[in-house]
Amino acid sequence: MSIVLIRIDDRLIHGQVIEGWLKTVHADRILVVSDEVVADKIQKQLMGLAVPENIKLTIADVEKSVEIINDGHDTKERILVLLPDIKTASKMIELKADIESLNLGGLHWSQGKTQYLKAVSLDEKDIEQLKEIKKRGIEIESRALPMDDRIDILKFIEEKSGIKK
Amino acid sequence: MIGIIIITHGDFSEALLETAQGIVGKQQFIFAIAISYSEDPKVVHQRLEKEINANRVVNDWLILTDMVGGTPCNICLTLVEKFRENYEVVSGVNLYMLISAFINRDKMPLTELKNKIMEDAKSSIMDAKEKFLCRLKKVE
Repeated sequence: MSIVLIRIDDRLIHGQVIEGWLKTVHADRILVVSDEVVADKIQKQLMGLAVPENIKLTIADVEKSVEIINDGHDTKERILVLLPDIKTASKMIELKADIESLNLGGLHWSQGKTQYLKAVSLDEKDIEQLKEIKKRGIEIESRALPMDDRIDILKFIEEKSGIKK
Repeated sequence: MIGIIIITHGDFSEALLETAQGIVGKQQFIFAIAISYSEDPKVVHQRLEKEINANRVVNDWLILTDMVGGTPCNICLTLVEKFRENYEVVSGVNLYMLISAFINRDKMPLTELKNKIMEDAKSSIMDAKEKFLCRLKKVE
């Protein structure tokens, strides 16, 4: 198994990923799954700048990424996969991406979302999608950094809304 | 006038600005932008652009950020094509770099200032203990 981490993080490549995760999971390739970034020259160059020289970077759309992930399980390469949102994860799973576990790293707050953790804000639709993903037997754990405690976000939300009632 | 914006993860930029001003005195046209993990980078991007556009007296901007590849730096770099030669972005901001920027900003054009502060910041990193022991030896 050489897909070493699949992380949902709307900042995609940033300090936490490069300094925190890359070295801990010993990845040698980063796969950014984003139809938007594939078409954005500036974003692509920014990401290239952020990645250390010895690490390879692939930016691919959802379909191509599913292929890479499903092939990736058999390669020697260690791949760290970054997704910008839960919607992308759902799409990949629909396309039969072989995913065992999802790390929910960072989704910033915006109007209509509730902030549950320091770096995780979700709306109703996000939560519904997460429940669907969990039903398929995929683990969802929330952690900003590798050394943080793994939080079962759905359980956390349930408990939090239980307290309110 | 060269304006300065410090933009970093967490409250680092604000604390750095306060500390530097504590050493060399209060400054004009200097802003600190702190980015928290719950914030939308697009909102920070707008805040940065607004700050730049609101200050008409300032022609040139020196942007000091913490790490290449971090969100603050990424946000700054998305404005490079817009402001071009009136806009420089330097990473690895530290106290020496900021103080050097304060002291030298009225003395030279933006490109020179950028080079000067990078040099000063680099030469501020030294083996302090070794330097101290060397001095002690000389006295003995």
